[in-house]
Amino acid sequence: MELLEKMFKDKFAIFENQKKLNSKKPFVYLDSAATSLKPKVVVDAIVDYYNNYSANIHRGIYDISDKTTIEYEKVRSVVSGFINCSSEEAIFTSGTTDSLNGVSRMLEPKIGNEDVIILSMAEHHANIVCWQEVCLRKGAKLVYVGLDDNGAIDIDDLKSKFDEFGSRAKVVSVSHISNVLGVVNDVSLICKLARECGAISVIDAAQSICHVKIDVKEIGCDFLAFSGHKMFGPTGIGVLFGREELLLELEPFRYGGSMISNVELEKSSWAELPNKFEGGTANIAGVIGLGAAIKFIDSVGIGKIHEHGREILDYAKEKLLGVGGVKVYGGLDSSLKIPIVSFEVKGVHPHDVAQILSNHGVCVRAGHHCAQPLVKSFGVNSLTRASFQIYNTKEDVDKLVEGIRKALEVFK
Amino acid sequence: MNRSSEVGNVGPSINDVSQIDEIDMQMYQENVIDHYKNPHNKKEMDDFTIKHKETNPLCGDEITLFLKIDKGIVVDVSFVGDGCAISQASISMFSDKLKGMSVEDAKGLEDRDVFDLLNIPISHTRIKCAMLGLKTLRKGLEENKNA
Repeated sequence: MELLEKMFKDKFAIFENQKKLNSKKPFVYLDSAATSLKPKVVVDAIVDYYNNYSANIHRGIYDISDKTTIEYEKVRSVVSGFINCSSEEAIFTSGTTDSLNGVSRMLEPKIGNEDVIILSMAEHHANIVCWQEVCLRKGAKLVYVGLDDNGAIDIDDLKSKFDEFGSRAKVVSVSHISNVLGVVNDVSLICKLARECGAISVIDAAQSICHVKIDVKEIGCDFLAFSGHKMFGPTGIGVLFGREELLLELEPFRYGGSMISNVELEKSSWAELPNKFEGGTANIAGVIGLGAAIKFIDSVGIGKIHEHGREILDYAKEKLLGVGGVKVYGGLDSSLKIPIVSFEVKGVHPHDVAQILSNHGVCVRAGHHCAQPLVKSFGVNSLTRASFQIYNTKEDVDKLVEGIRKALEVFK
Repeated sequence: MNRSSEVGNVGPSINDVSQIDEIDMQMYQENVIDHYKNPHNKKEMDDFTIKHKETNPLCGDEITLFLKIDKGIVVDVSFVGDGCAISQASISMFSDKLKGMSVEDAKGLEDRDVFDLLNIPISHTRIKCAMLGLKTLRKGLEENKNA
């Protein structure tokens, strides 16, 4: 495994560059759940676009605009292949947050004042606030499903919500994998239950997209959202998958150039899918970078990324259990989750844990991780989180554990 | 006036990697840990003149500050809250300093005064932690101009 990881580290310029910048301080990046590092192939693809063919897409009747359009649409088919949908169903957005905002706007006309929108207790703020706003505008109600003992969405609780609200349950929007707990939810079952109840299902795949194989048909969701930057791609680009039948029926959420077919003084008509939902000049470099990122994932194999995550998690479990005073939220069972480890260190505030780790070159995140309702439900204001990717090694886990011991020592 | 722009030389650089353990000790000096573990003036106050709560929305730290003011003088100070060692030690030290100060002088307190109290290296991201107490004081005084 170590050899394999070395090979992966070499594909990311940042490791070499950080070493040059500061040869004495290690660079242990354990914040991939916030954003993954970017492989050279992704950066190169973006630079290539800006240096060699940086034209706008569509309707430029000259060579480089033609090339840009071709490259841009090629990425759409790469994305479609990656999640198993048609090209018409893959809408480019600026990220998961934008995708979820978009879908909430699209679905708003379907929500009445008697209706409910179902979320889980483990949602990221991006999958809470936009629905709160819909509910405020429409007089509808938000309902939260609890978690089971493993930290996964409690299916029995979800069933009871469907029983209680029946056809008033219009939307179910949940994360595939919580960004705090890392636990994988049974989204296929959740979507099936939603379907049986006539509710529209929305899946936040921000964390899962780079750790497990995503097949929208297998999941059976109506919508699915993810970002490029958590999957080795650039920031500012994301995708909203929507089932074609719904996309044809629903109204756009962003008006402007590119999304129209005809504009008159008083009214306009919309472009075909997926352009109908892509108003304005796209983040073209972002799309090009996303395409390179997916190719990178395919070259590694999503199965290998998943397997590597399991090995790292198993190792982390062994090591962390040896440290007294560490409490992990969401468990460490690699058969249930991806390598996201949120924890508390007894007597040391999460920020101070993160600070001491930072002093030792270990990059982790501390805070509420944009999931305040979840973190507060644990009776705390913040947690420290370490998250891993293909470039992390067992040595990185050792550095983490070493830093935690150091924090305990400083605050003893 | 953007007083929070006064960043800069607030102590030894945390990128000085040659002696990492020493950096831990510089940041978390005994008095900081002391104030964190045994904070001064950490209690609710019943007969306050001003009570104000501020949070750091990025990290969830929170401080509720109580001030008792008599004839333009801060005669008593207390706080409750939850946060990291830097934010809690900062408000603990700061509450000692505030006691007996005139409201006018309290209004004039600057970021520098907090850095001087703490006297530890603080990274850019954590300036907000150190300044939460001062922010609570400023907002509290602003919203209670007649107090």
